[in-house]
Formats: sequence, structure tokens, C-alpha cells
Amino acid sequence: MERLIFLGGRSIKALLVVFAVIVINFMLIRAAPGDPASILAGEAGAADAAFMEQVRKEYGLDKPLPVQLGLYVRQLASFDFGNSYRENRPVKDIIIERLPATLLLTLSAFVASILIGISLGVAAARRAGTWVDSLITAVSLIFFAMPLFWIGLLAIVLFSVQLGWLPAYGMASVGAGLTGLEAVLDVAWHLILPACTLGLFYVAVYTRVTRASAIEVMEQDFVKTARSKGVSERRIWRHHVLRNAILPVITFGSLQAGHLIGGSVLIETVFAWPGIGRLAFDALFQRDYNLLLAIFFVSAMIVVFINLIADVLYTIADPRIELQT
Amino acid sequence: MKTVNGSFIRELLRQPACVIGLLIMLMVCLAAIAAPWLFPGDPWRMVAAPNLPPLSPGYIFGTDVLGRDVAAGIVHGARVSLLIGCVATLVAVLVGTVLGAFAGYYGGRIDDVIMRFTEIFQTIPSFLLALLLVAIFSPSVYSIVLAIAIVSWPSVTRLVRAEFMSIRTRDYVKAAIVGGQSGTRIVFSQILPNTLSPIVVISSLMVATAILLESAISFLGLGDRNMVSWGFMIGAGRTMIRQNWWLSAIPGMAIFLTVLALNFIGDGFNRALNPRTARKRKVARLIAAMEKGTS
Amino acid sequence: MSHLLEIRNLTVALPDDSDRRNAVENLSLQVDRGETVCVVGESGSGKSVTAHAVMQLLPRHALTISSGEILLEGVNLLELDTEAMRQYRGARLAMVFQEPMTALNPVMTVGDQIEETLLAHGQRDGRISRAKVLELLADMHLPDPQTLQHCYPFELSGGQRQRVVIAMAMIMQPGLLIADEPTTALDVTTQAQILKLIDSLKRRLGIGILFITHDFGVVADIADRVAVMQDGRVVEFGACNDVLRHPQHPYTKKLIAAVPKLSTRNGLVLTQTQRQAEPLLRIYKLSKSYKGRRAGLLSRTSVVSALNEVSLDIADGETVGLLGESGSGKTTLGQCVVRLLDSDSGSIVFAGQSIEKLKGSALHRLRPQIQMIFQDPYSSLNPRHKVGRIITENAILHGVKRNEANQRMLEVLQLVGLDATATERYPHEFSGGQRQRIGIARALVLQPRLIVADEPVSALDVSVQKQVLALLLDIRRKLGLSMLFITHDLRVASQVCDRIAIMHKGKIVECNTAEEIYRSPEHAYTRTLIDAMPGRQRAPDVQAQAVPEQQSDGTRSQGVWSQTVPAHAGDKFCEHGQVSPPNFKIAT
Repeated sequence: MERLIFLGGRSIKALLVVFAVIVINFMLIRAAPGDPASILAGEAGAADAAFMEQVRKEYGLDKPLPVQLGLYVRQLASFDFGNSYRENRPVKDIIIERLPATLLLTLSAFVASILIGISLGVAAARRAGTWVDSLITAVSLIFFAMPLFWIGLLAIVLFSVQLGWLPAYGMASVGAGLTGLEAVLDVAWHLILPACTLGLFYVAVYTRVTRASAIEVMEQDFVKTARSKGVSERRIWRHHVLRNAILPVITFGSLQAGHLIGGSVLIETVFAWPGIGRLAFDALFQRDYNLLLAIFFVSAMIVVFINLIADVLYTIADPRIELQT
Repeated sequence: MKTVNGSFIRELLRQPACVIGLLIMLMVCLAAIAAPWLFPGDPWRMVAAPNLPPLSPGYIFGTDVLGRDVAAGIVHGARVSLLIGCVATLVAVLVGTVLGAFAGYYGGRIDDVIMRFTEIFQTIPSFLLALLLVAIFSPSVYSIVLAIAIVSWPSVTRLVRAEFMSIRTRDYVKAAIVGGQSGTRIVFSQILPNTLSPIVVISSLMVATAILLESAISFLGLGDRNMVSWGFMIGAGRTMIRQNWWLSAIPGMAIFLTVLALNFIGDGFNRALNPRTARKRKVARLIAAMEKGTS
Repeated sequence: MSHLLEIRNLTVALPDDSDRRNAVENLSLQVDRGETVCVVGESGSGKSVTAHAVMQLLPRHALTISSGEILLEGVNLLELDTEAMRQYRGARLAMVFQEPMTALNPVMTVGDQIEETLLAHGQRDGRISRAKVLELLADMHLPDPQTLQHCYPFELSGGQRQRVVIAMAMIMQPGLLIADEPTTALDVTTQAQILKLIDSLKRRLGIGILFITHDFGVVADIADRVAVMQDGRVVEFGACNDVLRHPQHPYTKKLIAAVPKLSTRNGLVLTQTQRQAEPLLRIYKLSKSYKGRRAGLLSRTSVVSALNEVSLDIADGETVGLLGESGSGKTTLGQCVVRLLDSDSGSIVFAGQSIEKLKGSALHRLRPQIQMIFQDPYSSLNPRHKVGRIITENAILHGVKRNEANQRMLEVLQLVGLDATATERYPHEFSGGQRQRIGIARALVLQPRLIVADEPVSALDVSVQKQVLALLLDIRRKLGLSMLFITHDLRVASQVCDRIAIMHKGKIVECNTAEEIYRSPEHAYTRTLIDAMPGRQRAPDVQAQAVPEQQSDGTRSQGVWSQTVPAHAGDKFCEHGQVSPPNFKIAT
């Protein structure tokens, strides 16, 4: 029962975040130099007068601010991001087209980095103070310090240009006309380099966090109690240390979701991966703020969703949940 | 910190990684300061034959496709990175500390409001927001600094709030209340000095993150047009990566070394300032903990 | 005849840059079946290190056993390999630790954790294990084992958790039980129950118990033999009665002398006119409640009534003790008096002025008159400030000129027995007892009329405790302050207080002089408290002694301090401190 209350509170918080994003979007449009209509029309300035008039009416730009905000909230809440002038179709459709590629990339990077990162972190914590620990810590620090896009470029130079093992760009081989299983494998082949690059940074992050958390738990009293009962080291690790150390990692992981989406902008740009990250880059170049804002909103929604899932996981893992909502 | 000044520096220097970090940062700072003398004028003007590889005579890092000196770009880029990194961190730490201090000390509704606000900013995809801000307010040093500060302050707030909440229950804070000290005075003169250590540590790590953020923003083409930054150089060199790999590799190396150094320094500060991990008192603490019954 | 446990010449080395070479040096002791050996000492004596060494649970890389033998039933534990030692732990020897709140895995149910011991030693059959777990929970007198086994530790109280820990230790019926201060973190009444439990285990199962403690009262209650430790060495080892009544070693003598004894010395007696005068502090029907989570089996969120219409008077120059266990409300009452907390209803009148609702500058003006002394000397001083600043800061804030503040500081430092050079140093350079003196100095510099002392000696070693108590008595006599002395230890309260108010679950249940309380307790809870006092049963002379009041300069006092308190004089001053009806039930 308490868990439901807790989750209920978290959902309210999630809605608050969504609302805040909408408000931020709203403020940014108004804060940008120039006519809000031209921003909302996309292609800042390239749209013709008739289109702008239509936009003005749709967003109620001649009405008082609170009304505008209300209209804007209603539109975003129904995922109506307006029309793209250039492509002459709803922005929503453009985003939906590109979203799966980003999801594929970020999810595979996320899952891989969590699994590898936690394993490495645990390995380092178990052998804290030994050369294994130092090695893992050093390597994770190195990847943590490298700019994400730089790792991508270097990876392309090494694996694609020099060694020719993996493709450098795109999600699928152009013009190959593959279908079925071959198509899937082709995508997977193209996925390796970008996903690994994106994941590498986060492997470093999760290794550090898991290691620190595990070391802290190892020093707690109940671990000593377990030892005094004659429990084996393996069992102590699995049932006592890990089950407690994982809790801050879950919290931390959900915080990273937002960064991961940001990272995909860089990786998709470097690897020409056709997702919404790449779309954002193009929108930046074309000064299509409307599209950018829409991508921002969608990303925020994804992050909020992931956070909710993480909260559910947390309530399952920790029987003590705080009732503060 | 006053009491342990001498031993603090000794503790810092005792760690090899920290020493390396300090040396690297020293070099970066020197480069940044000495840039106008080492490479006077606009670093991004054409000076030599194009596409010279590194270790060419006179151009130690080579030149790019337009004949611009990479070394000049690196040295001037140090300025930009440090400037933006430090200023953005300063703003974020100031704002974050004040918010976290009041949220942590007063609790209740103030805490609720501040934490809601903070959580919202932490949940929002920060890099995208930063890009949006820079794009909409036109790329410049100011907008970049502002954007980085805006996405960075939440983590400071969380940290400071946690520290304040834990110190608030200490007896010396209660003694200050009973002694008649005002809330503001307690926050700034009693509690804050005891939270300096974690704030210093997080600051050094934040400068590193800020530099990474700035380089990413510049890489995507949103950097300040008038300043050469390392990220920009990587982005500019991207198209030539097959032939002139050094155009992207070297600036990236610069970023990497700087961020690494800052991390070493941050870890060094952590170990030196944090009495819990001080080697000498560790055993005494272990024994005391055994006797007090906490492991 | 072989001993159950025999430690021969054990030496545990400390790293090179420590204060001394060894944590434990050349220690020898024996524990036989069916006997309890208490190891007693102050902090730093090495008693805990010894216990951990026997179980081979010393923190690696920090403390190493450099020589000696530890023989359990003839087998040298130090020669066993890791796996063999693991099999011994929990099955042949087991340990109970001090802090029940952190001793259990928070994300595993209690039943699972007890069953884990069986699992670790090869018992795989779920049904047999479960049955044993339930049986053991019942043995430990835990309520409703069927439900309890599925509870998580955070749902249990401290005493219940400790019983679970003991259950985990005893389920394989080990021959030796090592208990490292298992009751120090518990309430006095809970402590009594746990000690009884451990004692019954010994008698029923014939196990040997190595019991670490710092409290001689506990030693008197349960020990068959006692080993006294100082600086890593055993300075005396013998039968309990011998060591307690005829201590040989000077350190033992000093320790025993320092144990707070229940003093039935005669307290402050006020003349008729003084009695009728306005009390300095009058608390009337004070109430305060919290919305909290109760650590109990069934109730979750509930309103906790910390103070329930409490009334109490403190006359000018009087010291009143507030005695109670955790949850009794004594700390809350103290904090309300000092205005650290706001009460919900009722009134507090100080020197004729109603203070419970004061705010702003009126409250600021009040502050210097009511000051507080805190429990933990390690957290009551700001580690970043110099002592001089700590002491004078508040006075200067209230308008005292710097010169005068410094002058007061020097006087007060002298009063508490510290050197003037202390002002330039930082807290970490001082010992616990010295820090407590600094805290007292800080309170005195404001020249308060009333001091609330919140367990001021609970966190100190016994010998230091004695000094600080003497200091408080001295100050009281010299400055004529009133004091509200909060404590959980009746013996300590009797040393310092004129009257003692006993609190239970937010109410004052009895209020009288120490002598009256001890000789003729009126309330059932008071009787429980007195019975639970360690050391009462077996060595009454370690306990209640009518110690004639002595001045610190050695002369016996005259006049007001030495007159016998008439039997009913106490009632008048508890005018508003109502005793609850005699059939008030105490929940266990």
C-alpha cells in the first residue's frame, strides 16, 4: 500500500517535470530574438507570410500570455508539434520516423554499459587495493576523461579506416536491399561501433559508482555479522553487499538517462546515425528551433518514463522506502 | 582547513596521481596565460603551408587544410577552455551552494520547493537544454557559460543539501541556536566552513565536466565564433580525418589530459581533506568504531 | 582439564605510526564451559580488539596478530585456514555485537537472516530450517514468531533486533558466545532483559560466554570471573567477587571507585519562605507530539506523543533530574525548555515570564539565561573554530564587549579546570573529558540562571565521568545555578540531583529525592527501573551507598546541604507533577 502511495507521488512529480519542460519551451520561444511566429514556423524566416499567419492563429500569438501558455500546453500534451515548413508535414511524424533508431542505439548502449559497468565495479571492489582494482579504476578514469565525440572519431579511424573491420557511417548498408534476418544483422553490424562508443563512457561512470557503493557497503556492520555467522564470502557478496550496493546505483542510473540522450546527439552526429539526435544537429544548423524544442520535449518525456521505471525497481529492491513524496 | 594547512599540502603531494594532475594543470594554466606572447595575434589565421604533419619544423603540431597553426590553436584554446570551465563552475557552485544550504538547513517547505525545482532541472536532458540555450541566445562565451552553469548547479545543490542536513543535527549547531545565533549566521559561519571539503572536491570535478560540455557544444558548431576552442578544432578537423588525423586527435588529447588532470586533483583533494581516509587516523578510527559497536 | 577457550600470550600489533605498539599485548585468559568471563575496560583498552581477534574478524591490513595462540577446545584457531575458520564461525563460536540498529541486513527478512546461519553450515532442508527458526524466535521471547519471521529489521525495536542477533548466533548451539558490549546501546530495562536472556542461555545450554563491557554494574550481575584491561594488557583476572570486593591492581581500584554509585546523600532543602516563592522554572501541562513512524510490529505511521501534559517546577538553585529511557520524552522536554523545539500546548514560565511562545528579539534576549550542555563531546564543538571563539562568540553576540568577554572566558576556564592556552587551540586537540569542559565553559560564559544538561556524562569513560560530575557539583555550589539534569542512569542522577523526576512515555510518573525513590518507589515503572539497574542484585555495595556529601575542599558541609529531607517535603515541589494512577500498565 505504501509503495503505491510512493509511486503515486513519483507520478505527480513526473507530471510536474513534463509541465516544467513545456513552460521552459514556452519561455525559450518567447526569449529568442525575433518573432515567435517565425520560430514556430520553423526554418527561422524561410516560411512565407501565409504560413506564418496560420501559425499565428494556431498558437494564439495575438492573445494574452496565459492564454498562449494554455494553448501551448494543450498542443504539446497532445503531441502536436506543429508543421515543418520545409518538409510540409507534421513535426510529430518526422520525430516518430527517427525515434526508433535513437532508442535502439541508446537502449543497447545503456544495457551494455550497466551490465559491464556493474560487473567491473564489483570486481574492483572485491579486490580493492590490489592491482586489478587499480587497473580497472585507471581504465575507467581514462574513458571518463575522454570527450565522447572524440572517442567516436578515434574509433572510426581505428576500426573503420585503418582496420576496416566495422562500418563508419549510417545504420544500414546503402542500396544493399537486404531483407529479413540479413537486414537485422546488417543493422546490428552498423550498431556495434556507435553503441560501444556511447556505452564506453557510461561503463566508466557505472564502474566508479558501483565500486564506491560496494566499498561503502562492505564496511557496514551487517557484513561483519554475516561473517561471524560463518556465511561464505560468495554469499556475502551476492546477498548482503550487492543487494544493498545496488540501491544507489539504481538511483544514479536513472539520473544518467538524461545524459545518455544528450550523448546520443554527439554519437549520432559523428556516426551519421539516423536518429533524433542527428535530427537535432541538423535542426541546429538550420536554425529550426521548433523542431529542436519538439525533440527536447520528447527526450524529456523519455527520461521521465525511465525515471518512473527506475522508481518501480527501487521500491521492489528496497523494503524501507521513504514515504516522502 | 586552517589547522591542517601544512599537512594538507603534504597529503596532496603524497599522491603520485595528484602530483601529475597538478603538473599538467600548471602547464595548461601557463599556456593559457602566456598565449598572447607565445602566439601573438589571431591564432586562426593562415600562416604556413597547408597539411603539414606534426613535428614539421616550426610547426610542432602541424597545420590544417588552410595552413593554420595547430599549436597556436591549442594554446589559445587552453584559454577558452579554462575561462569557460572556471567561470561556469563558479556560477554553478555559488548558486547551488546557496540553494542547497538553505534547503538543507531550513527543511520543511523551503526544502520542498527548492528540491522540486532542482529535481526538475536534473531530470531534463541537460545537454539538449544547453544546446537549446546556446542556440537561442546566439553562441557566445556568455551564453555558453550561462548554459553550462544552468545545467550544472543541481548536483551541487544536492550535495550541499545532504551535507547541511547531516550537520544540522550536530550538537554544535544546536549550541549555536541555544546561544542565540541567527539562522543565516549559523548557515554561513557554523555549517558552511565544515562543508568546504566536499564543495572543493566537486568543484574541481565540475570544471572538468564543464570543459567537456563546452567542447561538445563547440564541436557541434555552436561555439563562440571569435574564439578558437579545442572542441571547435576537433569538429573542424572532422572532415579530413582520414588524411589529417592529427587535426582532431591533438585537440582531443589536450581535452583528455586536462580533464584527467582535474580528476586526479579532485581525488587528491578528496583524500587530503577528508579525515576519514587519512591513513594515520584510519586505524584509530577503526578501533574506535569497533568499540563503539559500529564495525 | 581443558578450557573451552584459552588465549595464550596474544599480541595484536598496530601499524607503525600509532600511539602505541600493540592494541593487545601478551594477553592470556580462559573461559570454561558454563561460565561467564567479563572483560572490562575503558575505551582504548583493547577489549573489543580481543573479542574480534578470537573470531578472526579483525580489519585486515590494519590490525595483525603478531604472536600468541587462541585455543578453542584445544584447537588453535590461528592455525586454521580461511575455510576451516569459516566453518567454525557460527557453529562452534559466535558473536553478538554492540549496535543492534546496524547489525542486520536491511533488505533481508529477519527469518531469512536467522536461517542463513543454518544454510551456511550445510542445513539445506527448508522445512527443518524454518521450524528451527520459529523455535528459536520463541526461545528469545520475541512476540508472534510466525509474523515476525517475515519482518524486515527496520520494523523492529532495538531490543528486538538484539534478540534476533542472539538467535542468529545461538541457532547452531555454539560452545562459546562472545558478546561485545551487547547491551550498551539499549535502554536500562531492555538491557536487564537481554542480560537475563544471555544468562539463561548459559545455564540451559552450558555454553561459555566471553562478555565485553565497560560497566561494573553489569559485571557484578553476570560475571563468574572478571578480567580488567588497561592499554592492551590484562591487569587483573580473577573470580568476580574477589575482584570487586578486594581489587589488587591500582587501576582496578580506580575504576571501581569511579563507578557511579547510587548516592542517597541529602539534597537541597528549602526553607518555608523559599518553598513558597516563585520557582525559577515552572512547566505546566506541556505537550508535544510528532508525526512519526513507530518501530513496532503492527503500527506504522502514527502520531507519537513525546510529551503528554508534563508539569514540573525547578526552584532557584535547585538541580532536578529528568530520568528516563529512550522514548520517555526527557530529551524533548529539555529541548522545549531551551526553546530548541516548540511545544504544542501548555506553558513554560521562567522567572515569571512566559517563554514558550517567545520569538524574535524577545527570544534573543532570553537566550543567555537558559543554556545547554550536550551529550557528545565529539560533536558539540565546531571543529573549524578555535576554542576561544567557541566560548566567547555567543556572549559577544549579546552585546558583551570583547574585553569583558575574554575576561569572563578566562575566569570560566579556570573554573572548569582548563588552561588559558586552550583558547588558541582547536577542539580536536582535546580529549573527550576536556571537550565536555569546554562545552560547560561555553554555557557558563553567558552567566545563565538555568542550565539544561542533556546526558552530559553518558558518552564519557567511567573515570572521566566521575571528574565531570564532580565539576558540575562544584560549579553548582559556587555559582548557585539551577540545573535540569537529563540522564538515563539513576546512579548518576543521584549524585547530582536534589530531586529526580522519572519520565515514562511522555509523562512524569514519579518525582522525589533519590533516597525516597530508591527506598520506597511509588510507581510500578520506577520499581522496574530500579530492579533493572545493573549491579543491584549480586553486589549491593557496588550500588546504593549513602555517601555523605563532601565539599571539594574536603570538609563536610553544614547547614542547608546536610539536613535530612522530611519524608513528605518532596511532594510539595512536585505539586504539578502528577503521578499517574497506580494501575497504569507498562507495555513491554
